[in-house]
Amino acid sequence: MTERNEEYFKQFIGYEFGPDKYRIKGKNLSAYSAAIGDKNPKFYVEKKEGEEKPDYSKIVAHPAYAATYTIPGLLMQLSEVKDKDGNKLVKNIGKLLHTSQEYNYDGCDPLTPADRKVFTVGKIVDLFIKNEKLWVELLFTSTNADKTKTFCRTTIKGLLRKGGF
Amino acid sequence: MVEVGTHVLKIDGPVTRETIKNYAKASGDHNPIHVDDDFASKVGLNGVIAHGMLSFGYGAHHLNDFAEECNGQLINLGCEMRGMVRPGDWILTHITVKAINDDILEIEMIQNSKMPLKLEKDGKQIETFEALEKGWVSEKEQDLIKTEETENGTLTYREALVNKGWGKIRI
Repeated sequence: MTERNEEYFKQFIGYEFGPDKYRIKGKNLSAYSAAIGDKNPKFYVEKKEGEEKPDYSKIVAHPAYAATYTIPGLLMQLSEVKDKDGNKLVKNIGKLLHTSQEYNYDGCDPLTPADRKVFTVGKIVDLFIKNEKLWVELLFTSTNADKTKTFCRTTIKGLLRKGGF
Repeated sequence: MVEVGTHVLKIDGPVTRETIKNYAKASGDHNPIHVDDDFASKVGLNGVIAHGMLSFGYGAHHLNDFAEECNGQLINLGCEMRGMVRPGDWILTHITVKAINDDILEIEMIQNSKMPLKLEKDGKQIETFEALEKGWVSEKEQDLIKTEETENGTLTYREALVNKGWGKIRI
């Protein structure tokens, strides 16, 4: 196997992985908004007493909700990224530390319960070694199935500690 | 009127184990370091910590409210995660307009955790908090300990950076 120095890792820049599929439900959008203390009616539906099924159809996903449909699934898929010889980029995903994230909604469509599913693809944008850690920058793009709507572009930065790469 | 330097402070909390469980359920992130004290202690955390995205979620809530107050739209938000949040902590979110470029407000969002340690009145300790009992303030953080007068007495707490965030609002 090639020595896993910074040059070795550069081959993964541009690598695309996914898509990761995530189901959207109005009830879950509302519950998420409530969990972060936001009861803005744009994002949240108050369940009235005696009401069997509240109408969630008019709400949209909270700007923070993208964390649920991008980070967990795609980071797990990152652990399956391999080089041409079948060697995994990530040796131990438990060594991954998520350090920053950015959600870009400029030019994006609001995510509603009617969209039902979000498909997110990941791309490795940058990889470098500093202080014995492998620093990773990923771009996730979340769309509907036929890619006629884009819901969010997410940039995640993290690092793999020694033993993770 | 919004201008460079406009600042708002929003306070959430205290974060509780219930708050954290609700976030775990709503987000689908059931990592036991957030919900299982025994597990969290076994991996060296000395008790559960809140999801980083919970405090960031509070910030996103306030950023969006600020955007709506400006009749604008929040088009970008992000943060670097710098510290942990424990049960009992309050989250202080400072939103500051750093620049206005054409129709975009550039926002800085700093989030600190305020961790109560003890309450004293008339020289007597009348309440201690979990953070003090569990020793959640490290040696390195001793200079972050402060006091303030409250209606119940003198509160000693530690205030530390949790998230260094930002946002963009189109107005």
